[in-house]
Amino acid sequence: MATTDDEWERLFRQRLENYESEPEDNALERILEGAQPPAVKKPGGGLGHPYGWSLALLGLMAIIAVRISSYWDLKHAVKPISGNSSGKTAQTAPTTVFEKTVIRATPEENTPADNRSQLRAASPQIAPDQRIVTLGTPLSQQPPKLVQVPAGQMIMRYVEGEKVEIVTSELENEMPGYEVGERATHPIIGLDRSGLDRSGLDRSELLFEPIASRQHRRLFLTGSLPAVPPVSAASTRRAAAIEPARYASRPVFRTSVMPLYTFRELTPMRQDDIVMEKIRPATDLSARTGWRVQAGAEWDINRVLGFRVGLVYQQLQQQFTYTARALRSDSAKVEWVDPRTIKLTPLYQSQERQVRTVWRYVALSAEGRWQLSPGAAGVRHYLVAGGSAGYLIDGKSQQKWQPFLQASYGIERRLTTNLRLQVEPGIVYNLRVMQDYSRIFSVRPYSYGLTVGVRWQPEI
Amino acid sequence: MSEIELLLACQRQDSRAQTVLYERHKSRMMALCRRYARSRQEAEDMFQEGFIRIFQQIHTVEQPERLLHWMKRVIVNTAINWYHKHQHEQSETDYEEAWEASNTEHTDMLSRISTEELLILVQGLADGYRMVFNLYVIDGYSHLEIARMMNISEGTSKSQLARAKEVLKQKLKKMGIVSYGNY
Repeated sequence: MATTDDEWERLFRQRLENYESEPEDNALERILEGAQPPAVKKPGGGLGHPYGWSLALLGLMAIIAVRISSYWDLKHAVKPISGNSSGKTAQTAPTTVFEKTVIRATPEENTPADNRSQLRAASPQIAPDQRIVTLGTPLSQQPPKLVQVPAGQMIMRYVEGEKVEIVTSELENEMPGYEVGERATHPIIGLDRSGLDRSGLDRSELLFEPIASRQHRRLFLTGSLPAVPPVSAASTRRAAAIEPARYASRPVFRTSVMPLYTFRELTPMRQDDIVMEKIRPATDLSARTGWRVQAGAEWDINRVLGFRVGLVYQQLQQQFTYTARALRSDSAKVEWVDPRTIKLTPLYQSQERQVRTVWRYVALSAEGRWQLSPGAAGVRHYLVAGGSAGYLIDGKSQQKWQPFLQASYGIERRLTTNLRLQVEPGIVYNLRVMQDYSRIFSVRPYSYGLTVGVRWQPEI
Repeated sequence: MSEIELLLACQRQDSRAQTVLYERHKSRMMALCRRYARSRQEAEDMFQEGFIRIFQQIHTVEQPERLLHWMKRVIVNTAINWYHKHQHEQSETDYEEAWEASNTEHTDMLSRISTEELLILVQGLADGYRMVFNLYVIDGYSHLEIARMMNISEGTSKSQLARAKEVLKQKLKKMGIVSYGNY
């Protein structure tokens, strides 16, 4: 029996100093491979850490978002130009003056945009044998008249402020190659503004001249063309101010706070022959609440989709009690039942422990937003889903890196011109199990919370 | 093959000599790693890393008679590096607190349990306790040397040793209680 510390140490040394243990069978191959001179690595070539992968993932998502937004910008910017090269000004300039217009359809469909954008006087070019018909008045001034259209003639009339409707009669008998009932688009090559001088501002006439030389062009019974409002030099100069909105170029800043109520899947693990019993997680509010603060920016990819990135600080906590005892009994209670029988009862010494653990994370978050009511003026509804890469800055866990998934349903209401209030009930889920408290427990928290935030759009 | 021939061949990176050296000392070195590691798996990794360092640095050995001592030192240094590298993974160890209320006298079980069980007891110590206990009690380093190797103070080394011994005694005491099945 060891009586002194020195004797006790000597016994330990004697037992362990020359102890031998066999390694794995294939250890030598791995060692000889590892003992070879290491290959030269390219500088910066390694991204083995979760930190690197997380940054790479976030960067990739940001690049995708920027590419998508660029694509949408391009699409929006191109739309007004089709069919009218000067559409930027012609589509948006107010139509206040009605004028006599001569429109002649020609086969010059491939007229360069630059040429078409220049409005030319066309009336002198009308041949005597061409059937130029009338007529219409602005719908806003008086209802359109039902006009008996002579055969082979068309009438163009105002239907809306910026639209004209073309009414034709049966031309198929007289003009083979044209088919009644089809729509076609005729390029506008000339405008005659001489009517302004003759009839003043209260009258508008559109003269339309079909050209029968193109056999493949079908005549239409009804159709619509965008009206061409008067183009002034001033409006042309203002063209830059009325370009389509660029969604992606305007980040919106947002900040939010989210009180959390945390649940967890708690799994006790056997450690050092300790038996854990009577595990009682605390259920009161103070033992489970945490919070998540987020600040970042948001981009509208289009009217429906958006993209958020942000910096997150998150705190989770848990509290519970348990009892611990040794796997083997501490002692046994011996009772004589009768002279030939004894009763042995194992006795354990249990200790009750109370544990409270708080985890604090900083994280980078990337989320996508889907507008459920795009363009609504009042309350907007939307869904948000995304992920975060969190780093544990305080708390007992072996896993320093923790990926989260989060999703929420949001309601947004305008407070001021630039400020909106956002309320989002949601869930935050930890993807990795946290082994906690000397690896006695594995914990996987998932939290429900209510995000309350503001969204601020700066003035352009 | 004599020790000096073996050393010279290993310094020439002769793979046959390296195999002989490995076969000759693998059991001792593996046992050393198991004492310093928390688990067998960790000991395997430590053993592999230590032997790689041995083969990579064996050209620095000048005295063949010191080869075994030098190899043990390399393995111990590997274990210390391992401890520093993975120290953050170890959560606060408090299981010894679970036993501290016990007032039962310590029973000497050293001569009654197997060496494998003893090794498992040592492996179960907290990282700092295990390192200091192995370095001081088994491998014979002084507190001053331990303090330098582990970047701690001499007083910390002494207190960690005392607590390690206390925990081991408590564990031995628990193992020494005979369960009713053995009556």
